[in-house]
Amino acid sequence: MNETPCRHFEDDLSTWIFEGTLAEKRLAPLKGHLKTCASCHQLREDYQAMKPLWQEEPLKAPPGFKDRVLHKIAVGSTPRRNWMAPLSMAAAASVLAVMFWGLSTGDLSQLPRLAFGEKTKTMGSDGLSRRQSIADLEKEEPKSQSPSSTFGRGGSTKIAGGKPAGDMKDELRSNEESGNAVGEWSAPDMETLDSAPGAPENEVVADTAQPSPSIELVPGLKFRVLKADLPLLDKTLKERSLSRKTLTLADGNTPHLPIWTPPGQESKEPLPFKAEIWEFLEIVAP
Amino acid sequence: MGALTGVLDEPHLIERAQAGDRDAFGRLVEAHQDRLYHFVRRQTRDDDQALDISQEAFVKAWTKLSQFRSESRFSTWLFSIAANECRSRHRSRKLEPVSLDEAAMQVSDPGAQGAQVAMESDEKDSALHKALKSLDSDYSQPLILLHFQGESYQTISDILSIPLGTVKTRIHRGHKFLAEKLRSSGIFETPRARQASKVHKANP
Repeated sequence: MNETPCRHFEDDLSTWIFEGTLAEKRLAPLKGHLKTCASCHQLREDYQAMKPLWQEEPLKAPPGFKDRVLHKIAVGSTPRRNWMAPLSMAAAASVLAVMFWGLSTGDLSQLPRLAFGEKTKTMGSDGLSRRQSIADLEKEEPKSQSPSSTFGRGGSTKIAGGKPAGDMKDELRSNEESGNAVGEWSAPDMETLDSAPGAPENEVVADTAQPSPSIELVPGLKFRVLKADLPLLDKTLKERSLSRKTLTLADGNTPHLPIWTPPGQESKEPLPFKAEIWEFLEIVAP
Repeated sequence: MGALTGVLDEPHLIERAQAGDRDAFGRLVEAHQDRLYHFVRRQTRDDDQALDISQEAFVKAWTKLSQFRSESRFSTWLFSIAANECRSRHRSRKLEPVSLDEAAMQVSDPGAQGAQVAMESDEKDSALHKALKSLDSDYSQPLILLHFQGESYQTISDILSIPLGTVKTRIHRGHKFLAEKLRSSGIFETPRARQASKVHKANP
């Protein structure tokens, strides 16, 4: 049996049985095919047997659900209006002071980039945000042993979730092979200054009164950057003897990579996802 | 619709919630919690997991409220968050796939007609749910949204952020995968045929 016609009819069969919306001009050929193809005939019987299985009473959330949600909110998050709002005035002043110092001296390596454990603004094609749990990543991933460059003050902790180059390449390949063209990317979080006091316990809360965790631009790190910010990124990388390469996506789909936000632009609203304004990069050693 | 007095209230509630009004957000939770919980529960192994994910979805919605654009429906946005959370946990293996062997329940007392019918119904329902959970979320989520939530292809496309054509393809493929799984588990067989099959296996 030629598989191609069956595949064609299987789709129509699914539409016909489960939705009842198959156009008449497609229904007649389908019915004709069902008379001659045993496997499609069997599939039709299976679909008809499946149909009543979808009937069920809607489930209800358990009692007290709303109260539990509100309780979690009360002890944790606040709506993220902008990156300044959740910070204490002292913390905000500390951050601003360091940023102005860094910009005035031209030494970007001293700019604190605060990696938070929970969220990043990875944008979907409809402008909706998605986030990965970095707490999950940090539980799974070994510390990076790759040569790295510290971008920030304090120690050389990796970007939350940063991985050795080989692991990240394997993950990219795995994501692509699973057919999840627009799925999540469990890559490092690069969101900055977006944490609230008393954030949920699985978030890393950056206390700017303390030395901040810094971000390492690690070979193998994959992320996306606004094309307008490429010069600044290139300058930063060059200072650290690193460079970048553009990821070539054979199928034209773009993964949801963390975004590199240049210093001082964290308060800007995230842009809608348009592939043509983003460059998809991998940090490499020269 | 829960505590909402009308659909027109929702934009107002969202606006107030975005301004930090937790009571307003609580009303939004009430309006959407059942449907969201149902959507999540059909992807999780048990109630606890569904509860955890559902709550997390709402908490994330609260923290990201400023990013909600009124051009889309709030429920679409909310379900998108929940779908991502489910996919994320599925891929980190926190949502363990369910073996369809568990769905092959035995009919213990063929003589008790009422009990037999009830057990058959539970057996089939359970088998479908478990078959769904054994699918990749790429296929299970569109099916759940279509059949259990009654969503249109376009809404499913918006929730899952995949093209409309991909929605259709995944639903068609998902139906076929489900049928194959259910057939291989014997769930389409009548009790008599299943019993005959067992006898045959015992006395080849």
